[in-house]
Amino acid sequence: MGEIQLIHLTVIVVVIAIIFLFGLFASRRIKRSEDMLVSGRALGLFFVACSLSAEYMGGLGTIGVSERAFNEGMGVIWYHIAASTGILLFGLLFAHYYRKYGIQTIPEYLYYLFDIKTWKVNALLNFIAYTFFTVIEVVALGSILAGLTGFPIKACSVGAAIFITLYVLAAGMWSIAYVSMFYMALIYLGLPLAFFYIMKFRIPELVGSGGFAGFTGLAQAMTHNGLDPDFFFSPFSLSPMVVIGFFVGGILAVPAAQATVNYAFGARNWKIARLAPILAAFLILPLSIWTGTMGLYAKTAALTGEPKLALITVLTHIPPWIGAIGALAIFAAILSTADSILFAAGSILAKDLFQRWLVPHADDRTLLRWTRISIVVVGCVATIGATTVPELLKQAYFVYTLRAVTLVCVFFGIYYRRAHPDAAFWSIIVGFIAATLYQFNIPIDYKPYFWNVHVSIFTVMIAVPVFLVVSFVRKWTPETAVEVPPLYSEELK
Amino acid sequence: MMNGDYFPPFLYFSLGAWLFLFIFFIAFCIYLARLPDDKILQYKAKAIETKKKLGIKIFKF
Repeated sequence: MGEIQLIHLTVIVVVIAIIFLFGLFASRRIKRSEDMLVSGRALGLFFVACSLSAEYMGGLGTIGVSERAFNEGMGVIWYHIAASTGILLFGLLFAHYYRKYGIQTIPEYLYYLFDIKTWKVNALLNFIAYTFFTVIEVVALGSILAGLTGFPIKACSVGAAIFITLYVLAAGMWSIAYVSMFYMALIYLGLPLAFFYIMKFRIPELVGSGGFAGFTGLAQAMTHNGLDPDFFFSPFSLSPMVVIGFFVGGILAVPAAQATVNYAFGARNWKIARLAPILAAFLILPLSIWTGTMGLYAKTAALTGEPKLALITVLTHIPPWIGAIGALAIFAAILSTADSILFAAGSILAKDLFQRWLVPHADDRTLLRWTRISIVVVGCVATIGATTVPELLKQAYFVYTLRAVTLVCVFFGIYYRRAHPDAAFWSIIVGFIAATLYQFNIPIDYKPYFWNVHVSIFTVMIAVPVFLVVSFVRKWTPETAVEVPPLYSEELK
Repeated sequence: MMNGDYFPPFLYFSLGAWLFLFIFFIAFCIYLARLPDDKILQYKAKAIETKKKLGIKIFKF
């Protein structure tokens, strides 16, 4: 193990110890299931905003943005502008509707809007999707850890899965809320620090920089190396279709994604639930300035020929302690997505599938115990999945498009008077089948006929007309949606 | 080619959007603070209203 890897390992061990302390501290707040699932609905503005933004800052927003800037220039800033737009719209159009009825899961809201069958199918598919996605995130974390420490990827993935499971187990949403504040501090310390170090000390050393620091030196060096700074520094270096794709993806990814929005369910009141996403959007936006510029620096300095490794490589070419904190920021960004997704899968398993569906009269102690068991179950699936079937899981990523179909249902349920329960149910079923066919090219490759759009956009292209047509054909009657839930307390006012 | 304080075009967009979000956050803070707490009762999802109009009972889970 080299000196740099030893420093990385030391810093990682220290951070893991701090996170466990946060988990232990948060666990004192757990008295009932609601404390575990929605923080007893006591989260303040910064807790909700940091948890929301930390969840969104995953591998795509850090390593992915850097890779894209390396290849296609700083037009990549639109990725975070689009992500911020999605979170902003969640605060403006959805958060207060969710918070009004004190919901704990998105499938639950689909019952209020529609009916029992829509709730059940959405709960089941959401659980499967989030469990798959937990495994994918754990594998991504394992890769980062392996790069930082030199240990094998599988061992790192297993370690990451156990680590996340343990601290989420300690206090559920409270753990994640405390740890997210810490992650945001790491991200806001590590990435700007590495960025400013490179701008001030590394860029003047580049051949052709003329000794200038900052963007001046970088632009001079780029010209010297045959790269056009006017193109790479342009906000329009990506094609309009790619930018539109960012916006569609950013908007579809947030407002009905359990893992992202459940922190608003834990907000102290409906005003905080609406305001926190605006603050989260503000926190996310500058990320691409730091990571994108570091990607461009890697290209100009010819640090690597592999765009995916641009950001990590840059961090190994600056003083080890600054590089280690920067690497930890990326680690924190991915970790914060993984813990939220594991928790979302655990929440739906415990609350929707176990308590509401299968054992409706379980008392609160049983539910609390089941919430913990659910987190362990998802954690075990992630651990086993990370070591056995990672290649298959890359394909299974498409199940996450379910959040886009759920958004279609929630949006129409809130804003379209004729929105019918059958429309919601069938748009979920048809959308899911369409996504499967599209992803796996069954029986033909559809992509060329649909402008090669991402599977989530394709799914929405199918789900919206299905929803509108079924809503138009089916009529509401007093017999529609009369089935009562297996578990209920009082009539909704 | 350029002087020592070159400001790349993408930064105008990115920092401009950041500034916009900051101002929007402050304005939204003030707007929400002025709203009465029971304003939440006026936010009504259309599908839930349709159910209520037809007399379909909705139960809290």
